[in-house]
Amino acid sequence: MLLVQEILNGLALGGIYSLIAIGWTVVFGIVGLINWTHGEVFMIGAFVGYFLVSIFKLHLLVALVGAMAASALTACCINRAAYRPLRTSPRLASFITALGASIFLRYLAALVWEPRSRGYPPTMNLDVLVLRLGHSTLTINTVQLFILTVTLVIMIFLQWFLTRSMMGKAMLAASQDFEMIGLMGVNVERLITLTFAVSGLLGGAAGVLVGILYAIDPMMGSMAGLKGWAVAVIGGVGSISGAMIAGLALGIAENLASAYISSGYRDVIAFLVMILVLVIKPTGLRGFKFEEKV
Amino acid sequence: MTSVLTGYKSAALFAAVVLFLTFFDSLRLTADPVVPPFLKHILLVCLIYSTAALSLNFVSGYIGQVSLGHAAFFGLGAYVSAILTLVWGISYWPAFLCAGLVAALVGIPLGAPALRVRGPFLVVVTYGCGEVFKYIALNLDITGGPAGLPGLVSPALGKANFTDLGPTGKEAFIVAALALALLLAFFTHRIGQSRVGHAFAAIREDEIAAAAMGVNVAYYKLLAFVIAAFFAGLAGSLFAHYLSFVSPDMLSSSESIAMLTMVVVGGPRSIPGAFLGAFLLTIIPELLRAFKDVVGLPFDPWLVLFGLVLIIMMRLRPRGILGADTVFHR
Amino acid sequence: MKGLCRVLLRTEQLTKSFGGLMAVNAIDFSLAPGEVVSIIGPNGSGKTTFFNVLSGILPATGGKIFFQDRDVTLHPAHRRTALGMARTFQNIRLFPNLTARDNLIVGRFSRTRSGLWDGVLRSPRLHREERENESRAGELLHFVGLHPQKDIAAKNLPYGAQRRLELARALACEPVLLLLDEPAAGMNPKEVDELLALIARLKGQGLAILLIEHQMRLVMGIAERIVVFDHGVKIAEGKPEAVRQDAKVIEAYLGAEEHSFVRRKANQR
Repeated sequence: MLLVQEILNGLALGGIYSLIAIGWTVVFGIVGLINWTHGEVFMIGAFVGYFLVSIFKLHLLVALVGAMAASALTACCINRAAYRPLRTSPRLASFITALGASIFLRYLAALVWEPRSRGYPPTMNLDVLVLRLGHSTLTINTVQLFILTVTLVIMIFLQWFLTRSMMGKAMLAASQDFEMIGLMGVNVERLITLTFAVSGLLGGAAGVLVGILYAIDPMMGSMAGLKGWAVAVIGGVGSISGAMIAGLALGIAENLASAYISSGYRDVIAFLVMILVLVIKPTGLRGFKFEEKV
Repeated sequence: MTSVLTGYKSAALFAAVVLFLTFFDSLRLTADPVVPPFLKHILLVCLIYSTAALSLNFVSGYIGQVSLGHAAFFGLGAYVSAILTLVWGISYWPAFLCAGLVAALVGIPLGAPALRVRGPFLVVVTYGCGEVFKYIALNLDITGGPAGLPGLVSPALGKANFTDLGPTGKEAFIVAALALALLLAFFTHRIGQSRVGHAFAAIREDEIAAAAMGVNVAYYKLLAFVIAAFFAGLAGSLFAHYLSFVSPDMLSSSESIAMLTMVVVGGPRSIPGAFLGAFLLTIIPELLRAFKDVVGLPFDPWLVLFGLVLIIMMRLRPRGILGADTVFHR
Repeated sequence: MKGLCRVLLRTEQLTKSFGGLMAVNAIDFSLAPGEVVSIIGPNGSGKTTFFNVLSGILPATGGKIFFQDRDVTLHPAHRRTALGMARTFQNIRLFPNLTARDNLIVGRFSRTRSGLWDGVLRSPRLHREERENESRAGELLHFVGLHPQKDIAAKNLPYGAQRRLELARALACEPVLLLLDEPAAGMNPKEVDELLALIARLKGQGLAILLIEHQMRLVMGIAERIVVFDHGVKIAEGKPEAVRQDAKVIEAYLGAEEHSFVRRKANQR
C-alpha cells in the first residue's frame, strides 16, 4: 500500500510538471524556440499568487486566475521585447537572449522580493481523506485534491480550446507546419503571442500550485523550468499529450525514488531520463520527428 | 602572412604586459609594492577562464554546437587532480596531466549526444549532463560532498612550491596560467588553419554537405569535445590547486553559463575574443562589486546587469565583439 | 587503377521506406564506368531519395548497393566519397560563409590526410597538401569559370555561379562517379548549354555520371541511357529515343487521358 500511496502523492507533483512541460512544448512546437524564460514566468506566477493571497487577501481561486494572467502577460512581454526582434537572427542569438532574460528576471525578483523562501499562507482547510481498502489505508489531502482538480480542469479546457476554437486549431496546425500557416492567411505574430500567452497561463498556474504544495523563492524557476523541459522532451517535444503523460510519470518516479532509494538523487532522475531519451529515441513518447529535408 | 605575425606580436605584447604586472614588484623599484595582491588574483582568474573559454571555443565556436555543460570538464579536472594528490599522494604535475586526460576521456561519452541531437536539444542535454556531474560531486564521499576537498597541495617547480616563489605567492601561478592559455591559443590557431580546421568549419556550416564531401562528422565532433575537455580539465586543475580547494560550485551551471557567455561576448572562433570575453566577464563583476561596497548598495548590481548585458549584446552585435567569419587563408 | 571493374555501381532490390511510405521500391540498377545515365520522373517519384541512399545520406531499408565491386550498403557517406562517389544537391548545399575557394578545399578533404599533429606542427605533409589544395582548387575554379570569384563567400554568389561551384566542389573529391541532382534547375537555355558542354567534357575525361534532371534539353543532349522512376519504381529504361516514346512514361508524366492526345500529335509529325 505504501507503493500506491507514493504514487498518489506523486500525482499532484506530476500534474504540476505536466503543466510546466506543456508550456514549454507548445512554444517549441509552434515557434521553434526553447523558451528559457519559462521558469521565470512560472516563478512570477507563484509570487503574484502569493501576494494576491497574503496581501490582498483574495480567495485562492481568484489569486490563481490573477497569477495566470500575470504570467501570461509576462510571457507576452518577453516575446515582444526579447524574441521578436531576433526572429530572423541566428538561433544562438535568440538563445543567449533568452538566457540573459531569464537571469535578469531571476535576480531582479531576488532583488525586489528578497532571496528567501516563503510558503503560501493557509488557504484551505487541510482535511485529509482517508480511504480504507482491506487492511490498509490511503490518504489524500485537500491540497493534493485541489492541485489535481485544477490540473485536470486546465487540461480539459486546453483540449477544448485546441480542438474547438479557431485560434486553437490554428495553433495545432502551426505546430505541424509553421510556414504554411502564415501562407494561409493566419496572422502569424498574433498566433505567436497567443502561444506565449497559453504557455504563460499554464506556467502561472503551476507556480501557484507549487506555492501551496511546497514554497516559493525567486530561484525556483531554474530547476522547475529545466525539469519541465526534461518532461517535455521525454513526452516528445511538440506533443501536448506526451508532456502530460511524461509529467505525471516523472512526478510518480521522483516520489518513488525518493521513498525507496534516496532523496539526494531526486532531481537527477529527470535529467538522466531526458538524456537517455534524447540519445535513444529523440522523438520521446509521442513527439514529432524533426527530419531535415535533404 | 601579415595577419599571423600580428597575431604573434599581439600575443607577445599581451604576455609582456601580464609579466610586467606580475613581476614589477619583484624588481623593487619602489619602496612599497605597487601591484596589489588582489589585482594579481584577478589576473590569474582571467587567465584561467581564458583557457576555459578557448577550450569551449572548440565546441561552441568551431563546430558550432552550443554547450552549456562545459564546467563539467573544468570541475572534473579539478577533482581528479585533487583526489590523486590527496588520496594517493601523487605529485602535482602527473596529477595535472591526468586531470586533462581523464577529462578528455570523459569528453567522449559527454560529446556523444552531439552526434544524435543538435541545436537547442544539445543545449539542454549538456546542461543536464553538467547538473548530473554536480550531483555526483555533491553526493559521493570521495569528492567530499558539499564542502568539497580542502587543503590541496601547491604545484612545485623542483623543490620550491609555487606559493613560495614570489612576494604574494601568486606569481608562479600566473606564469603557469599564462603559459597554458598561450599554449592553447597557439594550438587553436594552428588547428583552425589546418585540415582539421577545415573539417570543423564544414561541420559547422552544413553537416550533411560535410559528410558528402568526405568528412567523418562523428569523429571530428568527438575530437572537438575531447580537445575542449582536455584543456578545460587542465585549467580546472590549476585553478583548484591555486585556491587549494575544490568544491561542487566549480561544476555549477552558472560556471558553464559564464564560460559560454565569455565565448559569445568575445566572439566565437576568435582567439583574442576568448581572452577578451574572459577578461571582461571577470573584471566587470569585480569592478561592480567594488562599486557596490563604495556606494553602499544592498545588492550586487552585476547579477541583475549580466542578464541585460547579454540581451543588449545580442541585439547590437550578435557575433560577439571580435567575432568574424572563417577565413582559411593565412 | 579503379577502371577495370565492369560494373561501377550496382543496386540490388534497393528499398527505402519512411514509415509506411515506400519512396524507393526494390530498385535494381547498374552503371558502367564512364557511362552517363539520366534519371527522370515526375516529382515525388523517389529520384532524390534514391540519390540520398546511394550516397549514404540516408540508410537503406533493404537491398544492397555495390560500388566498384564493394558492398557499400552499410558504409557511411564519407567513406563512399573516399571510394570515389561525389554528388551535388537538389537544394544547393554549399558552405555558405566559406569562400568559393575554401568550399573547394573542403571538397579535397577525402584526398588529403593531414591530421591533428600535422596541423599543430605544420609538418611537411601539411605544407604539401596545402599547395596541392591551392593548385587543384585554382584549376577547378577555372574549369567552371569562377576563378574571379574565388574570394567571395558562397552565399553571396549568384544562383548560377552557386550551381557551378557545387559541381566544382564535387569534382574536387576526384570522383569516378558523379551524382548530379538537378544541376540545371533554374537555369535559362544558354546556361543549360554551357552546363551541357561542361558535363560533356567530364564525360570525355572518363567520369561516370548519374544525373537527375527535368530539363529535357540537357537529358537528351548528354545521356546515353535514361531510367524513368515513378512512385519509387523503375517504369522504363533504355536509350533516350525509345524512352521518349514509351507509353508508360508518357502516362506517368501526363496521365492516361493525355496519352492518346500525345500519341496522335506524335503521329502527325
